[in-house]
Amino acid sequence: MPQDNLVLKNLQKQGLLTASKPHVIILFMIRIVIDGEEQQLDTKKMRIETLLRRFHINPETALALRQGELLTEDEDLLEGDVCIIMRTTAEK
Amino acid sequence: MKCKKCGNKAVIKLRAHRIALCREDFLSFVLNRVQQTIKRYKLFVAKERVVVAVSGGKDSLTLFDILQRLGYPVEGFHIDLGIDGFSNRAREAVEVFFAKREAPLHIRFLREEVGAGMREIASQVRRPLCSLCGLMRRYIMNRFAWEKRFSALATGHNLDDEGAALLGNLMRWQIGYLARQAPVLPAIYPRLAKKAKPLALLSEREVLAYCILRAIEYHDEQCPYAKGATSRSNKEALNLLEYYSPGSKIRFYQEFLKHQGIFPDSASHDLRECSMCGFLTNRETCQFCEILEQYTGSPVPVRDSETGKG
Repeated sequence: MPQDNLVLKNLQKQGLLTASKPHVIILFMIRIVIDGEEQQLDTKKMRIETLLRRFHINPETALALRQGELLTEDEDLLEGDVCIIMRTTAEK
Repeated sequence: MKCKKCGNKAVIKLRAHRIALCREDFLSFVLNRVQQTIKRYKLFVAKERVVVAVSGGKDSLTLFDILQRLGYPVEGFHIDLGIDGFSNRAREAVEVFFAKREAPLHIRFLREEVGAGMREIASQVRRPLCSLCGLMRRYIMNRFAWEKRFSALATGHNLDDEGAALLGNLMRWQIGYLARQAPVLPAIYPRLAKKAKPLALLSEREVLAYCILRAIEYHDEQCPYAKGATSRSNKEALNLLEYYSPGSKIRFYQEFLKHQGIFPDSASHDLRECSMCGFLTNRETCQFCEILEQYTGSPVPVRDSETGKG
């Protein structure tokens, strides 16, 4: 099973994928949800490193996943990608 | 980014170790790291009976997975704290995990042990809930390990946990705690199993990556009463240092362990048996029995572990 689905399924089952429990960021290249809030990302390509910096996420406290695969910080996200940023601990 | 060991595509960069690793090499790295910790700090040997305290979270389930893969004959122990909803979901995650592995699991319910859930006890006892919960869990775990004759009780404390605790103890100069903070706490008393922290040299990020790569379905829900814990701000502070100076966390902890002898451990000399339950304490009555007494309003008869008599 793709890891993204597994993680999402877990989060939804536990009621964690809500605005009040900001633990995960789901990024669609056009549509993004950050800490429970949806945003538009006006770009077709973005490096994980840049993404983390843009959202002030310390890379020591997060991991990026795309289609079940862990991504290193030099990987590029392209339009249509679904990326999950998992924080090591809940943000708030 | 390429794996430093095999040249395949890397899945994780470990800046503290100046390496990037592919899936297989990262999983081997984690197993080796834990095995090294067990050997270097003499946590336990292959013949010993080890019980792993499992909350259902990523750290404890990862620890169990790793120890099992390393060939240790481990068993799991879970305490249902009786926190509405949260405890049920945690227990379910644990049960699913152990059922898949057909591994031995022991579960104790706080309601059966003391007649109430954590929230109800906290409402009657003047003590912060997190401190109360930690104290009661430690007691029940220690008692279980003794009753079932395990020689070691392993917990999923990782490097971030240990670093945050160390920073907190240093900030308050708690000499006694500094003297006793280590990957292993020896069994200094016949009724006490030694405590082991095999993940002490793995960062929280490394543990999370292992958990994801092994597809371990853990209970990823924060305790409803854990908001604003000091340990979280300490972790953030250390991770900020780690960001600017990779390797800071591991150096901070390992250098502390090297120089730990400078802190005198006076508390261990004052230990005695609790007048009610017979467990180790530095008071006449241990805090667990005091709490139960406060909750019930009368002295609590505690059964003897050896005879089973009430």
